[in-house]
Amino acid sequence: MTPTLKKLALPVWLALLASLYFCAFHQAPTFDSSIMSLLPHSQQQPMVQRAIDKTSAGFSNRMLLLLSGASDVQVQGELSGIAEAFQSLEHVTKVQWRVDDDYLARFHQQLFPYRFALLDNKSRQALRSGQFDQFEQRTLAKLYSPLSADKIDLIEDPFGFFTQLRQQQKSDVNVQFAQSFLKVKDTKQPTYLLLVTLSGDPYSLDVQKSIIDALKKQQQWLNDEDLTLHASGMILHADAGAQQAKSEISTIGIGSLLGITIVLLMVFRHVKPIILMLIPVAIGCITAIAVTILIFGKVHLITLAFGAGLVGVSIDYALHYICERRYNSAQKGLSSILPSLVLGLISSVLAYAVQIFAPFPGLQQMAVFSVVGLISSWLTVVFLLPVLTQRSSESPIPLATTLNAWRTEVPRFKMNLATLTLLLFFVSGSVFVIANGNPQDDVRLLQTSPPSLLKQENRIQQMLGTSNSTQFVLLTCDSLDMCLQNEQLLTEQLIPLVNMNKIPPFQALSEHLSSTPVQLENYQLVAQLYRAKLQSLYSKLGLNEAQQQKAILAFEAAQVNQLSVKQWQKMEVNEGWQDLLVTDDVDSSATIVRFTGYLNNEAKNSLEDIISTRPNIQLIDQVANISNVLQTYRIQISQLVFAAYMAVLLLLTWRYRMGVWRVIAPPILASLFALAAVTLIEGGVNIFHLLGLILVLGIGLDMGIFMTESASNPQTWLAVTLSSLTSLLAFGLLTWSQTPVLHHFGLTVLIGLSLVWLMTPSMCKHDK
Amino acid sequence: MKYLWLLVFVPFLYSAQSSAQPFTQFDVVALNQLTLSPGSLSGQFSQQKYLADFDMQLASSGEFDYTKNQSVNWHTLAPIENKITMTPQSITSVQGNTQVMHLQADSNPVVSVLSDIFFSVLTSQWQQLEVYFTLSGQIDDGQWQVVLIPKDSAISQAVSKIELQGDAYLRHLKFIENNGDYTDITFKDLRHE
Repeated sequence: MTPTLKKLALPVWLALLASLYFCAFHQAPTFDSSIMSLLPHSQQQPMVQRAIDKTSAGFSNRMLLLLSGASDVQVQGELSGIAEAFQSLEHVTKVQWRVDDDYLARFHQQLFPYRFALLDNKSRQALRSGQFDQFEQRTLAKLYSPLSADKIDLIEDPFGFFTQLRQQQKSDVNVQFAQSFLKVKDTKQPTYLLLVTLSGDPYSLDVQKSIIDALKKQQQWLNDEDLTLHASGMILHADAGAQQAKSEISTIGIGSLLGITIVLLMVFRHVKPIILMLIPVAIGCITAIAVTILIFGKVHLITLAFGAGLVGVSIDYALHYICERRYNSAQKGLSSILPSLVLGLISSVLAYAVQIFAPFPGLQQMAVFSVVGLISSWLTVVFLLPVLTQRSSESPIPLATTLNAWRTEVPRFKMNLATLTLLLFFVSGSVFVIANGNPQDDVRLLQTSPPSLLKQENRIQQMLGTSNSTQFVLLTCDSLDMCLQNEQLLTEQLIPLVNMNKIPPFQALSEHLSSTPVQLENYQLVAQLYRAKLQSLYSKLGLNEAQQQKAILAFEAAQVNQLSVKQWQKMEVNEGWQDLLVTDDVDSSATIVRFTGYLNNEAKNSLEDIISTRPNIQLIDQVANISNVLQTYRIQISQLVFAAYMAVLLLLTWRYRMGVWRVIAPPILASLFALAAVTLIEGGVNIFHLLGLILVLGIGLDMGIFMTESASNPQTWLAVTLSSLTSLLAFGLLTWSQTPVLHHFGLTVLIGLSLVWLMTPSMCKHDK
Repeated sequence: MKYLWLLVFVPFLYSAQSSAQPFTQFDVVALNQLTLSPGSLSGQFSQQKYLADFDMQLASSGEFDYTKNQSVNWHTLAPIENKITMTPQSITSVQGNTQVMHLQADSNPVVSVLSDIFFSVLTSQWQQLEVYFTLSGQIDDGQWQVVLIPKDSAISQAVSKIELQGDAYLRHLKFIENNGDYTDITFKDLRHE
């Protein structure tokens, strides 16, 4: 560097940071806590993705509230208060908790015109096979019944098709109307349902805060009244996840910083070096957040938690410089360690940057975060620290000497029969253990909700008789009519399976809306019935010719009543079935058949038997998909880790020639042993263990490089020891995280890094 | 996870309204003392159903029997043959050998409420009827007349008024609907074991 460049570097760097921060933080940073956004979207065909989005929307933008208490009257009395409390919130679209008196009239008005066009399967089959008699019998039975329910309209609908249509609309959920409130059936205590529809993203912390605060307030107040308010919905899980991540970020962050501060105070016995060390780390983190926001729009909380680990690595550079500074002047100190700093940075950046190639959006974000954080704290060390330490005095650290004395006592690794046999034994043992482990790709790895919340969720599902199953059958066709016809054929095959209890009951769009040709055919079928039986029915009842003529006219007038999909979608009564229709475009349509229970493997097999011959029908199982994705990425990441090691190996071989093993062997052996240990502890390796290994590689290589470059002087050994210790403090805490992702990551780093630190002294180049 | 279809079926289930007026006009205790509520009963019925829109009477007759708290069999013999079996859980209608209707009470609350009412009327379970109706009427020398008015507006969409008449047994009942339709039933030859 020329002197002018040197003088310019710092102001340019600071100006760059200032403008970067200005761009990124002119509005408050947004954080994301959705575990789903860590998963790749490109994996899914667009139609499948749309279907998944549509089915999950019901869970993600709804919150169910169940209010229970000792008496119906007491519970009913509180419903309106709760509804109002939620209705007044900004992120709530509506709260449904009672039916208005006109609902039934509207229901009748909306669907009655289509009574001849939409027929249930049973009626269709009876009409097709000419069993007209039973329709006449049914009408007579109803007319002479002492019960006045299911009234027959002898002119408009003498064969009672509307009643059938209405019954088709029933659901399997355990709820009924009580005093026009929604009462859950068969519960120990009277229990009523309220349905809150959210307008905001349940993963947004703003939405979470407003909804969850309101919920907690209501729960507390109702609790005093001896009433219980249970809630279910994605927002609760999202909130629990965010709370957990937040609390862990603070415990891990504070624990790590506290531990690091104590260690550093003990070593340097002065506050200034610690502040000096924290400056690059802080700049690294803030810059990483800024760039992540500029590139991705928001920062994922997992990235942030992961970024806590960055503290461990980026403090390396500062430590290295500060330790060196105690033995040399500002300029000399920097130039003497610059080669190792450069190599250390390159190898770490290389190790992190590899993650950019992983098609996990979350991994890419973490990679960008880490790379930017590392580079910016490195630049801060190089440009800023020499200026800030201009006037510091040189004073060797006593502890460095003690520590170095211990290091030189560590037995050197020598290539002889004994060590080679031992090494071979451990390496082959580890390989054997890893090979025999069961790789873990279960979706529960991503589960962040506490068990109590999952239990409550299950209880509510049980009470309502619903399931949150993400399994469904997707039909893709050129037109909606084709979809509906295919669906009808499919459901005819599914009904026997449901009756044999092989698959759970299902809901299909074709149960509520028929294709245009079927609607036309239905009308014709009913026309045959009218020709065959109307006169007979009317004469049995003693009604005259003129009245019969009226009925015929009413039937003819109904011929034009075909229900189009547009009209269907607009109907209030169909609100609950909307998501069965994924899309209805000019040349492509898709519908789904949804199951009300969980499809086990047996059920999936019997379904596959039916749909495997039809390319336009597929079974979508989101849980299985996520597990597949995790598996794919576990394999991809293993390859990436391998590639990262290879790239670093090449770089280091160019620099160290035959001595490269001294640098590379500790992290490689440590990784191998750590993987074996993790397999023994947790039964198998998952993707997050592998991510941890990338860190072990980064920090482990730094250690080897610094030691080799500095010819293992005491201040370097102190620096790498302190950096290992600080990293262990940062990551060691992750091992105790409740979030599985972080726990797996932390455990690997804890074991791996400890091993690297223990192995390095015996392998690194010995000082004379 | 859809709940709106709930609003789709036509269910009303009513539970006691504590806010309802206490029973003052009429003495249920006296009524209870007067009417027998045997464990089982059988007899003949004749029914007139009036359809206001057609100004038409549909007359039918047949026999019935009930076992308290278990089932009511309503066997129409003329002009059609039809047998309705009501239990607290379900209603089945059989014509000849074919079942023309079967409803589980829990899948169709409107039917379950109406059959609950029908059940209570036949077996003179006044306390049960008070859940749904306001009772008024008079007792005179072992004869009684009772008028039931629904407490809830939604239930009156199905039945606007019920008139009952009897002595130790229920002898006559009339379900009156909003649109002017009514069902008039007279019982005779009542026997109980």
